[in-house]
Amino acid sequence: MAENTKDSLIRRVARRRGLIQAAFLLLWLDPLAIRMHAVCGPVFHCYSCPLATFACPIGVVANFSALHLFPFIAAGTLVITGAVFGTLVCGWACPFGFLQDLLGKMPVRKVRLPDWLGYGRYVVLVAFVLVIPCLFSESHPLFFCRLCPAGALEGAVPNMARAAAAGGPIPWPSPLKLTILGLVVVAAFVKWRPWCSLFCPLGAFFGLCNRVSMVALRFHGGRCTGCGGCERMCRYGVLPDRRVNNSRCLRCLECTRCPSITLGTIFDRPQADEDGRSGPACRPVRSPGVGLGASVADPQGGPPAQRPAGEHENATAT
Amino acid sequence: MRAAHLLTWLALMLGGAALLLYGYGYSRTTVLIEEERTEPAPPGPQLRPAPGRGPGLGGFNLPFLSPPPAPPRIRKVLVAATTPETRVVRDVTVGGLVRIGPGRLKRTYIGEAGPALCPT
Repeated sequence: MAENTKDSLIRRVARRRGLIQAAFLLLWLDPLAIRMHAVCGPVFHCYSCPLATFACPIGVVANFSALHLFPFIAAGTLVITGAVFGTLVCGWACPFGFLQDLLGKMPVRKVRLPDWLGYGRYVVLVAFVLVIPCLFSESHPLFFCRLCPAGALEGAVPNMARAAAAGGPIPWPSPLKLTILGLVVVAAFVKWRPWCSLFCPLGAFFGLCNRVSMVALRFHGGRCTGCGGCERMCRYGVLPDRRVNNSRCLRCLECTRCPSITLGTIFDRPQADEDGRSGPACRPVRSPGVGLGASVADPQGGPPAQRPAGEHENATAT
Repeated sequence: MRAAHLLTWLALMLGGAALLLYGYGYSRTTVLIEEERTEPAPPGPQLRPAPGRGPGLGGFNLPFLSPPPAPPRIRKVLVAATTPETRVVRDVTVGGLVRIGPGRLKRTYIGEAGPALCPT
């Protein structure tokens, strides 16, 4: 009973994700004008922004790499945040993700790109944040901060506007940076969160933490009817019933509208109907011949019937 | 399986906490800081009274007859300073540090207040 109350509360909160993202945006925009730039924030928010409260962890890591120093503070911030929340930070707190979510709400038909493109995030993390700064210093044109669209939007554009309003010389950013920002903005109309799912180095790190983070999605195979609703609800093509806590999941929690997927912690006791591996057993359309006798739960939230014991043990984990 | 998950999580939390503790509390970096030092001007040529004459008009020691004092010299010197990581983080947010050689970092600005904007 308590579990159901918690799940329904999470579903209600998930419907108001935009409000929570806006509240976090206020936090990152330095409402108290304290500019704590010696502290790394856990989100992708450029410290060049005139209103940035904290330092961007990726910018700090890239700069430390250029200086050949180990970023203890940034690494500690990333590890702790990733270990506790995983990509829940991306889905609920990141200001650049919030902007893309807003652009994505425009009624334009969305495209789905192949899964393997998600590995681009690791390429960006390794090449542009770690290797190029380390080998060629921060003055290289491919240094991450010289390409970052969040930096262009939150730092370069406001500072250009401020300088223009003051009548002073305008600090022009690199054309490449502005071009990348333009491309991301345009792409956000036709793809949900293009930067986050294809290029974001911070999301790449938090995605790696998804499997071990304290907060975790849980798939209850016994409640799954194989309707494919969670797959349709997922904007990022993660297939929550098969790859719950996948590194590409941004934890927007849209899929928790399905009763078979809940949000919990690693301290929760595993339930009888829970199957962390999940699998095609509950997807008769995709895997005919396996699990056709699976449980049939009331999609409106009625009590699910129990799947026969051991059925998921035969499912192929993907 | 669950125990392995919990152990991994615990190791990450402890590792992250150790990194933060070391970063905020103990991590120090030597940074070369350019400082402007004002040096007193060297004494100029002094007019001495002629031998056998006392002070007064014949003694040449009137202020308006002395050459103007040279302005103090401002010299730039590099000072190695041990800097906490919090300061290094703050400096890199404004492009305030560059690497000038193996293990040698130099602050790009003079004084306490750094540049207002990041150069990128």
